[in-house]
Amino acid sequence: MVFSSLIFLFQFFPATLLVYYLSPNRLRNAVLVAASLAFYAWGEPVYVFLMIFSILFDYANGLLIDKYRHRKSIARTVLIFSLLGNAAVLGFFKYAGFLIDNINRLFHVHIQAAELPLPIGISFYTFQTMSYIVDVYRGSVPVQKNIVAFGAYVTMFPQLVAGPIVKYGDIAAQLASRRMTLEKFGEGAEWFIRGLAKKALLANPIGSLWMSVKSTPTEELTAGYAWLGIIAFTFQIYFDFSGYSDMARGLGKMFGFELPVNFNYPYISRSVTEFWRRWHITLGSWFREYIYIPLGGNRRGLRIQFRNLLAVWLLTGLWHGASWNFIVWGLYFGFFVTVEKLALLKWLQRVPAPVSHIYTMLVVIVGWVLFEMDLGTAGSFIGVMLGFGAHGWTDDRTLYALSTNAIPLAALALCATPLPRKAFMHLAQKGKRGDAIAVSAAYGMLLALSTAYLVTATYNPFLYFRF
Amino acid sequence: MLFVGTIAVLHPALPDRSFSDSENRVLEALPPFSLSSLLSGKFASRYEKYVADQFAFRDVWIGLKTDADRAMGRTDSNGVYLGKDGYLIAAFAPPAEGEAEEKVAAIHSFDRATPGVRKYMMLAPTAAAVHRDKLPAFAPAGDELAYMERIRKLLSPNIRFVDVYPALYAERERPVYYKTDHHWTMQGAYAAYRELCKEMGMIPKDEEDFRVRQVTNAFYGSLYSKSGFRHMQPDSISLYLPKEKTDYTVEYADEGHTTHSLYAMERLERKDKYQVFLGGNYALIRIMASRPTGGKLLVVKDSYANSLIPFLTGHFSEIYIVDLRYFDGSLTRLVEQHDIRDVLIVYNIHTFFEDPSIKYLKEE
Repeated sequence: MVFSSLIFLFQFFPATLLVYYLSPNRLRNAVLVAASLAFYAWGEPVYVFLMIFSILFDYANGLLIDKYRHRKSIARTVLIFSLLGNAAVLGFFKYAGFLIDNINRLFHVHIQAAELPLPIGISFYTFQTMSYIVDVYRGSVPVQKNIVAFGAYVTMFPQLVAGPIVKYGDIAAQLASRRMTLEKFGEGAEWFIRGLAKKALLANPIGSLWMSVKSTPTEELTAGYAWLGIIAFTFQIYFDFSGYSDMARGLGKMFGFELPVNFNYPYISRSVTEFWRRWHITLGSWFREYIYIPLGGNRRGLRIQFRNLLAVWLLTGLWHGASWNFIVWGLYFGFFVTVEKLALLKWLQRVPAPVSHIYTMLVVIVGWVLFEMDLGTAGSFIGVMLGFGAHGWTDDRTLYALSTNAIPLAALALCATPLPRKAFMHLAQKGKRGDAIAVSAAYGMLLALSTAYLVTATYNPFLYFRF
Repeated sequence: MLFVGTIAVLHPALPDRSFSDSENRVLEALPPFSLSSLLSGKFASRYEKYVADQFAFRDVWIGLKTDADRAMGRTDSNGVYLGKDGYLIAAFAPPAEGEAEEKVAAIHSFDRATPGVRKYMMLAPTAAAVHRDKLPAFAPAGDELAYMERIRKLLSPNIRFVDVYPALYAERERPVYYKTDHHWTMQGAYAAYRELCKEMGMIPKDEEDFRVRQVTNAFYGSLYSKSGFRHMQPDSISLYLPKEKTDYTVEYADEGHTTHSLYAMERLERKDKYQVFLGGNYALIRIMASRPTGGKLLVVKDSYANSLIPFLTGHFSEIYIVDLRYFDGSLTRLVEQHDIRDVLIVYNIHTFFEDPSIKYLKEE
């Protein structure tokens, strides 16, 4: 199930919320686990058992590590066993096909790969359980003895399928007891509506522009159409992903949790380094905490630091998907981050802001081409953007797409900055009754419009009947 | 919260609808539950369709969405452009490579099987070509004329190509196409009829020979449904009724019923009011004039022909009308059996390229 669906919004969510708040405190984690399993099983009726296995596996490993804490070697063995187990699950479901494919090509053999669909959210929940095991081993968090509370941590449906990646330490105390107030609930509803509007009103509509560009054969593309398309995708992926994270945070609040913020206006960054501090924040900090720093970070000389950066960016690429373009995409950003660390960052701070903004956005936008297309197509697409092999710079289709998307693109650009949010906050905080009503009305409007867009997504008139 | 709660309660409270008039299709019903459908995920996806289809005030939400789109400057929806002066215009999608050759080959095959029968081919342009000045700026609506020219060049000289575009274009200031529907009006069909007469060597009836009668002014056509755009002016439908009255017998072969009118007035009460012409599309219709006036004609056609045929009845004593989408007999046999001397193929260029049934013309 996804949040931006009618069935979630108007059936699953209200029902869950009702049961949750009618239940006594001690049963609420159990309600949450049950609802989350149902939420997951709706789309993955079989893989839900894989997730349950994963929970039991790391729950047991956590207990074992805690029990043998004084016997370092046993605790360490359990840790490695657990990490390998998680890596194996992830590797089997996510990377096996890719690996076999490459072996086949390299050695000209034909090993049949089992074509398994990727279990939803597996990259997210395995990263969460791994963070738990590592933190228990390090002793930075207490072991969780209650299986229901641990299950709630892993399965919690707000963050289950698309993050944010919650570290166990961030949420351990809230699993035991959390404060629920009307104010927090209201804040949660606002986060949720903002996220829903980002997804339904901003990401989905502009996504259709990208779809029509992407489905155009490269030799028919004009340079202008290619740029328009990839800019559309740049907005689509941001509002889609950050919208999802906002909805997750909002839902979390409505159930009394504080989930971490995952996006902080990444497109206003002035360097690639800054971009990655604002984009998918919880993934970046996971890699920093569990890969980069344990490998020695930047404290063991430049060479080791380069190796560590390489490892982190290679894994970042791979985490996004099992294919070469993601690897190249990860290394591409690794390259810019490294160059910025060495020299560019100081220069970027000195030059006028527009220069550094343009530089950053160019790197990011070209990055999205690598992200969205396989390497061959991405190469010719970037060529077209530069005018090589393009069907001219512009044509009617380009001008039509530009003229009819001018207002939406301007709105998207505005919403990618903190300005609309600041305006809302300003109105809400002035404390005038009229302004507060206006803000509520605006949220109501957003929700109604989002509903209209979601309903219409299924608008499917059948016209070719005897016509 | 209140909003979400209200909708959540309303869904089970309101009765399910089985058919949507505005979308012209059957809506998804509550799917039966079974363990296997649940495990395969089929139950989930059908249930989601069901919730969407039966969503409270569905049509209102759809209108709200297209209104918001219009406010944001969008001028197309679902392949339909929102043109000037309230025209909705369907874009012409370029056909697949080889489609033109294949269809023409089928026509040629039919031609070889029925030697000595005169054949005429009328490919009607749509509003996307005739009203291209009413399209939104830069709108890429496809080049119908280039493909029409292509067909004309491919056709053998045995088949006379009736080019109706210039006549329609000359009349474009008058309502030759509906604004909310993809068809031409009877006035547009009249312009095409005059062109056809030139090719067939007949003397067309003058416009003064007809009494023009408006039968409805509340027609929201197919493009209105397809686009979902609201706040459009409805179309009116006018019939060209000959002042000099003749009686006809209209036989619907498969349905086994007979009428005496070319117009099915009861269809004006329904959503698709264009069906007033001949009652819509049927496999085989036979029109016989009470006073024999000419030879026998076979029309192989799509719905564009339905408003053209009334003009032809004055020139032929029998007209056989075949819609290949529903007809499963042999056309060659039909021609031989009834000793038909003239064949007219009428399609609008969209259907001609989109509809695979034209290939049934091919004789084995």
